[in-house]
Amino acid sequence: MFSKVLFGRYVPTNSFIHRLDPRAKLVLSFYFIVIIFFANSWLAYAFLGLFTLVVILSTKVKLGFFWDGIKPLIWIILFTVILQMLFSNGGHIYWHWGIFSITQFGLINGGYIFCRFLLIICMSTVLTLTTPPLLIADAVESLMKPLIKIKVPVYEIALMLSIALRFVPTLLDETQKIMNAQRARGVDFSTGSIWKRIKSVIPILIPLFISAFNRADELATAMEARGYRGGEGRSKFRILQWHGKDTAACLVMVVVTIVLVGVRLYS
Amino acid sequence: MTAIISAKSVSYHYPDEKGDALHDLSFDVKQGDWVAVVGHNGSGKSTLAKAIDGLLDFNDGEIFIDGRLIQEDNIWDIRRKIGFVFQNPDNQFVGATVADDVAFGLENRHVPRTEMITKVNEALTMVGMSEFADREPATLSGGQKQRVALAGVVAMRPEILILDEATSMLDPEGRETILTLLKQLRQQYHLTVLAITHDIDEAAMADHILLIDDGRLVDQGTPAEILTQGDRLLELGLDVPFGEKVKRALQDELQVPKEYMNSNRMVDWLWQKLNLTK
Repeated sequence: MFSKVLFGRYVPTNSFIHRLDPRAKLVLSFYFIVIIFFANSWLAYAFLGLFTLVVILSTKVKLGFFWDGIKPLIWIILFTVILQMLFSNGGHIYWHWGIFSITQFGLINGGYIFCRFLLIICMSTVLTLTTPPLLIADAVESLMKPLIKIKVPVYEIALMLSIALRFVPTLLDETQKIMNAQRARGVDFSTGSIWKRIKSVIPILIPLFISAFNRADELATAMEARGYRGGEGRSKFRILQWHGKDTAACLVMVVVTIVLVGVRLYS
Repeated sequence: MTAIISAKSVSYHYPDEKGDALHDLSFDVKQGDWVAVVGHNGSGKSTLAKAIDGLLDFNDGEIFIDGRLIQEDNIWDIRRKIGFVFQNPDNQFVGATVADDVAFGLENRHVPRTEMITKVNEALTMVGMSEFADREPATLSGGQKQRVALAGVVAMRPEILILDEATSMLDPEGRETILTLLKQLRQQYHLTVLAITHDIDEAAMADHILLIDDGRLVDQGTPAEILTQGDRLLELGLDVPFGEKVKRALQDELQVPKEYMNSNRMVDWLWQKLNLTK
């Protein structure tokens, strides 16, 4: 049941993209998502699509994983695209019924939105498939460092993030165990009305919450026994290192931006 | 030999419960000794362990670690001397990977990174987990997680090691490896070990046993003194060691010596007996 969870599904292939600094990957994939919205022509989308394809191929991850990323979102994509097509006005009108109309601009807008969704999902999947969750947490901590100046508890947030990530598999295991235990006692999770199914979740949730409290209590005691006194004044075992290839990746993104701006100006 | 842990009439009362969890406990632990604290479930053993590490604000009495009274202002200094391994291998694993977990305590002490890397590697080699350094806790067995917990403690070079039922959630094999490992570590670092357990065979390995019942220290002595009191152990909700069980079973037929015998000595004695009767 939990094998479908794409979050944190890291596929190690040791490609060039895998070896990039997680900070670079995080920032660049966010940046890419932002510049996708600057594209306003088919040529621009073709260029961005080509770039994304090159990135995807260079991860050496099987294409099936990307399809797994798109699959659960396919209905949202189709729904948005169809709404966009039906309600946009302007240009040649092909079909018209009540408030619905299919127009030339509507079709174009729908196409653009489809491209945007596709590119965003692909790029974010590249990030999650090539970076272990742990390193993403490290990158978030490192990128948030400047916020210490405005009294954001960055170390604490980073610790919470890393403990949360570390307990995801443990808690999933436990959920499965509780579910099986409740099934053995006659709780049925898969049939009945929606109301009945919601009610049958309670015998999973309550034991899970209680055990999470107990875990938190024991973990806190163990941390204190090992000398944890808050985030301040700790040294770090794991350190991210910025290499030449990370700068190179940033330069590639600068080139992409320049080309995109060029395409936007001359088309 | 000086007393490294010294408790003087310690009492503790959990806010929501009737009766004392610890009642007027006094004892000394000698430097370098392996002391087993034995008692049934809920007899106050874990509370005692937490009190010694200053994780619990006991109501009455005093605890001295290496001659220093535990107080609020020196608690972090005192904790540096004490390594603590808890019962549940999952709930004390802080790090996202094995190496991170071993490094956690060192990070808290602001150990420089280069030093930390050598210490983490050393500690992992010592417990035989060095090839697992990058593994995540979800992929390890219970025994392996406890070995990592031990490595995390050993990396900090404590003088005292407290084990709060550290083997109780493991299978016999995992327990065996942890206990063998403990013996090695103890020899190597001259650790004082305070092992809390309700496993009587584990207690038999100790130099000294503290018998606890309902928060009171009911008896203390060497394993030979404590473990021969078969009926009393059963009364206190504990088990009798295997050698003693054999002895009790044979008592009606044979004249078995009164003194404590572990399994090996029991075997030796039986061999002798058989050879004599032949």
